[in-house]
Amino acid sequence: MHEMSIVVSFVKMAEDFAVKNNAARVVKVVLQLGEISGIEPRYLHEFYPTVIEGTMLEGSELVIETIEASVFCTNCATTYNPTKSDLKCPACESERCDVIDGRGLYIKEIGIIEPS
Amino acid sequence: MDKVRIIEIKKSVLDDNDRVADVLRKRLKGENTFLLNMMSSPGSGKTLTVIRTINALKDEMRIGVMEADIDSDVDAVKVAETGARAIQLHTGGMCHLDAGMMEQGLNEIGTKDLDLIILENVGNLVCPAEFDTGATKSVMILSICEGHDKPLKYPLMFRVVDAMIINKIDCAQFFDFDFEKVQAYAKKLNPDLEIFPMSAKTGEGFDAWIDWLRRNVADSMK
Repeated sequence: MHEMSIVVSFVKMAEDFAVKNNAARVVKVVLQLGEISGIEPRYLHEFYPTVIEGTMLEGSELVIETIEASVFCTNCATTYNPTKSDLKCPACESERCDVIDGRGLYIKEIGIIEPS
Repeated sequence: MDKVRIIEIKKSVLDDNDRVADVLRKRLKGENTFLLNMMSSPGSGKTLTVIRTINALKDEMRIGVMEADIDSDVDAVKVAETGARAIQLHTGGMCHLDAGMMEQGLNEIGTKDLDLIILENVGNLVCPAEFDTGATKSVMILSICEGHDKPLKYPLMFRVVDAMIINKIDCAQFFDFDFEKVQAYAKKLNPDLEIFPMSAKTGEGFDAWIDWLRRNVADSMK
């Protein structure tokens, strides 16, 4: 269940940014999640409320956007969008490929409320 | 009503782990310590492989072992009997070790006077493959009882490692394990993968694995 530790890390990051920006609290966190990251968005949503309890993110909304995967075949120089598990090149069937995008997880932005 | 201000961040969440892992790798390199990350499913023979590896190399290098499990210290106790320095890490329910936990573990075991540290990761073919531990090299063990189709089912594990041990070959007659198929599947995912069929119990095929490890430890010290 590695999604739990991932939630803990991005909540910590969001908190740090909120403090740096003098926020009173955080109301929204927007993530961008790569298609082939192996991370299940469903579990991120499931663990989120527990992790944010007692933090300045408590009660906030979690939004997860998807980043489409993009892979470059080093054998025939095709760039393609692979299916979830199989990175094989559709043109030449080679497995020698570099993932350009779609493996990462990013915090895109957070919505904060400033002290009144 | 309170006004919401949007702050753009655009920062990677996973980078955090990769960054800590890179710092660890540099630190170990500076101390001439080789860290081997050993991964596999539960029951594939990691601990016996670790013990045999220590016994084969303990006269040539100073070896430490970090045992990672959700609970218990049975592995660390077994490994300590070889005379190697061994510590047990508890992940507290987590399915893998991340770089942050590794840093604590390396501080605990003390890396400066060790040449080789073997990390016996949590038994799991999924999550440990996704977290860089700062290891110099990684190896995975597949025992023949698990079946030759595992590279198809857990591709990332076979992609991220430098070497693969096919363990328990002494039991081959009892299983329908296809050596050719498993090597073809694994090589397709990772064309540079080094593969070592062996038995950690009988020692058959073990020398090739030890040669690979000895060579890589020496190379990292150059």
